Amino acid sequence: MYRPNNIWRVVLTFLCASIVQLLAAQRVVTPVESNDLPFELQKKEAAKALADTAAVDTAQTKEPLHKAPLFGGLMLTADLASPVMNLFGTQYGNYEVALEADIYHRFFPVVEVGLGTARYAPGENNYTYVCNPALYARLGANYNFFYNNGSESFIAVGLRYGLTGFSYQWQDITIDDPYWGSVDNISTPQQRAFAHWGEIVVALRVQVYHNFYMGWSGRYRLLIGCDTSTYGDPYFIPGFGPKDAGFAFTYTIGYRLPLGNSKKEIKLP
Amino acid sequence: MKSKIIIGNIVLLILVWLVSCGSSGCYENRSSIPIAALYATNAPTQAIAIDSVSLYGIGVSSQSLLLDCARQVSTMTMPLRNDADTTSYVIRYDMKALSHTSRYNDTITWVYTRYPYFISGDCGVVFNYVIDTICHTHNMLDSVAIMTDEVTNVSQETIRLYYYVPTE
Repeated sequence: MYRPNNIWRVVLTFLCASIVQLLAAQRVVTPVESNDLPFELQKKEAAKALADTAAVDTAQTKEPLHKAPLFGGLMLTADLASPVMNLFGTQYGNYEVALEADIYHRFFPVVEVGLGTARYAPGENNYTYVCNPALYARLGANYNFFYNNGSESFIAVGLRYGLTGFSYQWQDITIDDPYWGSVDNISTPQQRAFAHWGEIVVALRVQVYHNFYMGWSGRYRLLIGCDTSTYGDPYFIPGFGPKDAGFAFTYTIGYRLPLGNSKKEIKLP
Repeated sequence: MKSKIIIGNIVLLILVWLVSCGSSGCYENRSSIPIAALYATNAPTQAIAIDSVSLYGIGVSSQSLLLDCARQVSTMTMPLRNDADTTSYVIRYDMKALSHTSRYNDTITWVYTRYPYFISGDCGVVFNYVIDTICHTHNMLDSVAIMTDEVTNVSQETIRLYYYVPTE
């Protein structure tokens, strides 16, 4: 279901969170209390205070941009959304795992690979859409807004590029002809197609226990290209989902592989 | 705090599932039926309407009429057979002026190939047709022009039937 207002709500939330973070990072200036010293002495005190402030500023400029190390480790995640949805009757799914690198706990290059399949037979309609199991892959990266807050959890936005090659057909097509009184039951020949698309991702992930994580992502998918056939456009595209659905969600569990030095933080001087 | 986030995640998943259950419905034609429009031979751009016309398919089980002595007929819809590659229709003219000539009938035969076409998840699959030729008698009907050789679920003029219309 396409709801542009929700996207703006999320964007505004991130903007507000960023502003709050920026405000929190502002240096607190302590006002100099007035005293009864002579004017010359007050000038000397003021000059000394200014020098102290400058020293503090110099120290602050030495603070590294990133508290986390360059390579923070690898994260392996699995998407649970499709298996759970299958339990509730959904007749298609994308079953995928992802491998993600942690760069400064700020950038997360990611590779997602999976298997998409469908056997979709809407009860009130006259066909069964069959998409044979097919591999798909997505490449992209996430950007964590809270990379310096010392938390292992994150809120991120990201981009993906996905592609797949797959085969599909419609089976058990039943077409009634009320005027001529005939009922036909046919299937189309097997069709092959290639599809590729882009995604905008909003993701949230929390650490639940040691190296185990849980999170979700909302994705807006935009189909860049997909082969069509004489018999119509494919209904389900592996990795993309139903062709007419722009939004998708993943619900992931993840395990941080014990690599790199994710727990070591650079000590501030 | 962490447990609240986890519970929030689970609630979100349930909400997403509930939202994703909706169906947008079908807002398109769920059949592909050719449309024949009536025109004047001597004024080819002028659409005409004729009275007292009946239309039925040859071989239809109950000889049921698609038009029964209809008035002001300017278009006719002629569903094609899904179990054959030809379909024939009879156009019967029941005007009183023609009663002395018994009834003038015209027969139109469609020759075509058909293929299933998936419209959408909600609308399902229909048969589309590619017209090869159209044969017809010339009793009242002067000529036939094919406007588009593909019959889809989009409502559009498929053929034009031209009749000679006497002028004063």
